[in-house]
Amino acid sequence: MKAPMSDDVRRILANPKAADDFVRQIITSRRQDENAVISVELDGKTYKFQRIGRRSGINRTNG
Amino acid sequence: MNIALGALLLFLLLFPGILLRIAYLAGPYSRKNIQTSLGDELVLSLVPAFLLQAAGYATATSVFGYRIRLDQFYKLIIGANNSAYQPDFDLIDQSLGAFFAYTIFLFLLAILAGIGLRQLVEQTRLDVWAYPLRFNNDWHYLLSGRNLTPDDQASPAQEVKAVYVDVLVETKEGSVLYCGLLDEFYLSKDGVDRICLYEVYRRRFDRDIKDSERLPDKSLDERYYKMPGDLFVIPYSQIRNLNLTYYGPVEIDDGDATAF
Repeated sequence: MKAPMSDDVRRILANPKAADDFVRQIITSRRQDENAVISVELDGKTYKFQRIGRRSGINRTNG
Repeated sequence: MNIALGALLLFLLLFPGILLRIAYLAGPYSRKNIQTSLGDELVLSLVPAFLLQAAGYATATSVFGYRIRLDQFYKLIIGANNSAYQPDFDLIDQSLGAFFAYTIFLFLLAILAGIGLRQLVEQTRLDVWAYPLRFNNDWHYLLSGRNLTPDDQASPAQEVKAVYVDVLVETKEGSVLYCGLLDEFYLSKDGVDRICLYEVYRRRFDRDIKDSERLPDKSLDERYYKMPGDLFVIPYSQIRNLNLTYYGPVEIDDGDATAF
């Protein structure tokens, strides 16, 4: 069964450059600032998202 | 024979509750993989069976004007060995058609109630709070982020838009971490059969950085290797553990941004 993944995320993943930027930001932010906003540019639009979950909201700067 | 008749009657009376439960649990994310005993299922079906029978009784008596002789049910159920076993078979014979119509009506009502209840629970997310109402394999709740409650989130009831997974896998060369976005997962009798990831990076698990070290912003160090291919499939049997991170929408802070 499909995991939750929005159309916008799938659109980003369909573009190799945007997908690479997207995942790199996730990996980096998870080490440095889990609540950092992930921002991806694609086709003139900026898509933003942020971690939600049990530890979101906790400022963890170095991990 | 009479014991079998009593048991059959009892089963017919309880079956709407079982049907409601089957209709409630049936679906693409069926809870069929959860191990429950027949005894558990019977107990969990008793309450809905009682409620459905009460509703059916009220409808038959008040709407259709039937007079239901509960004493005859009692006499049939207790069996021939009991001294009180004196059912009126003439009356039972005359009422068989109405009884079967009532039973079929109740079966249909049970199925519709089960489907309706499931939709209500899905929409109100009651299953997140109340474990007995859960209709899915527990892995589904974890991997879909449905296990998140408003208390877990910075903003209440944020919808999960993507799930990022770190998967620890044992190889001959040691533990390896695969990181990627979860695309699909397949449930099995034992839990999960396999998971499929997009945009996967791999690194050796023993090459963690120290807490005092920081990575340069928006860049990855040489520890990561990007896996080629469109979709990466990991069998559950090779997974040591999973680290899940859920991502959701963020508030728009400028006119050009699109939040999702």
